[in-house]
Amino acid sequence: MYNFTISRLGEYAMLIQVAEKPSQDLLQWLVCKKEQLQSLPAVEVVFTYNEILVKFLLPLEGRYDTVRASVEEILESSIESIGINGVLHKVPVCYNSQVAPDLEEYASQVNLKVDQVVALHTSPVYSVYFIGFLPGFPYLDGLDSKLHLERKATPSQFIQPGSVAIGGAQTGIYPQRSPGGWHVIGSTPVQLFDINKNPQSLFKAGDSIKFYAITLEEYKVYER
Amino acid sequence: MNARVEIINKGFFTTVQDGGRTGYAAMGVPESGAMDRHSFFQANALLNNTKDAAMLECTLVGPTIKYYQDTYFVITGAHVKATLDGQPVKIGVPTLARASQTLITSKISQGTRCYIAFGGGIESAITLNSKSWYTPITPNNHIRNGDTFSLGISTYDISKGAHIKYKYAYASAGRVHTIKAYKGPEYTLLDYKQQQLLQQLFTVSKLWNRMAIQLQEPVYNKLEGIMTSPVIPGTVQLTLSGKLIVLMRDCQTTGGYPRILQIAQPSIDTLAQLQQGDTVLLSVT
Repeated sequence: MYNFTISRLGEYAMLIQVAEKPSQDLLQWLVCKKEQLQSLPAVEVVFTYNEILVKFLLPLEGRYDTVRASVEEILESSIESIGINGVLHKVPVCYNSQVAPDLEEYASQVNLKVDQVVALHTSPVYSVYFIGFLPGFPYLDGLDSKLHLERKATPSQFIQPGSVAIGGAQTGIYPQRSPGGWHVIGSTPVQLFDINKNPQSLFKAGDSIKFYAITLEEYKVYER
Repeated sequence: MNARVEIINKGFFTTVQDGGRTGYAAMGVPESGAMDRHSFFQANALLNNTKDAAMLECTLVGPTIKYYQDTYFVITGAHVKATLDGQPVKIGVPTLARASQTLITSKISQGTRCYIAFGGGIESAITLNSKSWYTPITPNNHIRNGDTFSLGISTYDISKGAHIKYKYAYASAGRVHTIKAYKGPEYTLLDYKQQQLLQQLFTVSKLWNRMAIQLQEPVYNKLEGIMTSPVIPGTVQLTLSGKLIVLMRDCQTTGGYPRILQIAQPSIDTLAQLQQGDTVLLSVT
């Protein structure tokens, strides 16, 4: 049981905020509450590190208090300890400025050498906390605090698919070409989202990821 | 046999959209769907289509379309000059196109996006429970010359006429558009002066598309990013550089910039009809 606040996000959505740092316990609670909240009519439920968004098909106007009461009841109920059936993915990453445009600038900003960045980034087993932003983009828990760096002041217009990046205390992988505000420190040739596969997303909440470094030559072989 | 239409000329940016793709945000899949839902729903209502039937959303310059069977269609949203084999087509009025006739829509004069709906709707592939185009969920995000679309069975009955009257919702260019907004989750992190600055006139910058609209005038900002959190269409993010980004239908599912406002649904439709240089006043409630 966590303390939470509930507020509206526009006419159709309710936002639940938990003032807690990401943790494996919190992740377990979020996974469980997501399942339970999906029993409400006409909703989509998504969670991030410490927030849950519940989307409704009908506006909340005139029925907010009733719906809020149902949501509160679900959030206050105890959870049974559910084992999250996670998969460990070993993900190759090329840490070379040819495929990682921000690597050298990033390293100097965090006062580390590039090989120290690589060592620190490839050490942890990261937990996939949730998928968000774009199809298949994994948000990972476990980044070494020496690697934390605030997002860019102005997001880049185009970040290449496979870009492994750091934003604040987070690290993740861009699955497709998109704008983005994180510092790109590497690139993986692995495809994160494929509409023709089932499931379409390579990762899911509760999985774990271990990065390992590959050379530019190996990267190009993978890339074909 | 289902009716069929062919795209002779794709226009500037024409895409297939329906009511949107809900239920897949946990995989990071955007909602998508018609940018101006008001005009979208009106088009389907005018043709007695199902509420979410797919149609063409046309941006700035409309397409040229050839009909292969007798087909009812209607145009809603932005004002566009449209002719069917040379005869003017009225906006908001269901019109019968005969087999072999050609609809030419050209430059949009008021607003940004018009909707061309066909009786029965477009029967394109359903991907993750929606026909809305968004790459990489769908092969393309906009139509190409030579694309053909099968249409569903039309239930439009000319003898009954439309049950609703089409109402054009967008006033002429040059006007200041009032955008209704609720306070967002991080609104309270703004200082008094920042809150006052939100009352200035904002101009739509050159960065506007189906994903987001960036407003030109900066609001100075010292707020750091937040932990990545859910966002939805209409969420207004304040970037570190002080630019406001209004998220639109194709927006990402999560974001890390403070969510200072949440635009009301009808005002998202209004924003969908704006283009570079248009001005907005944010009315925060």
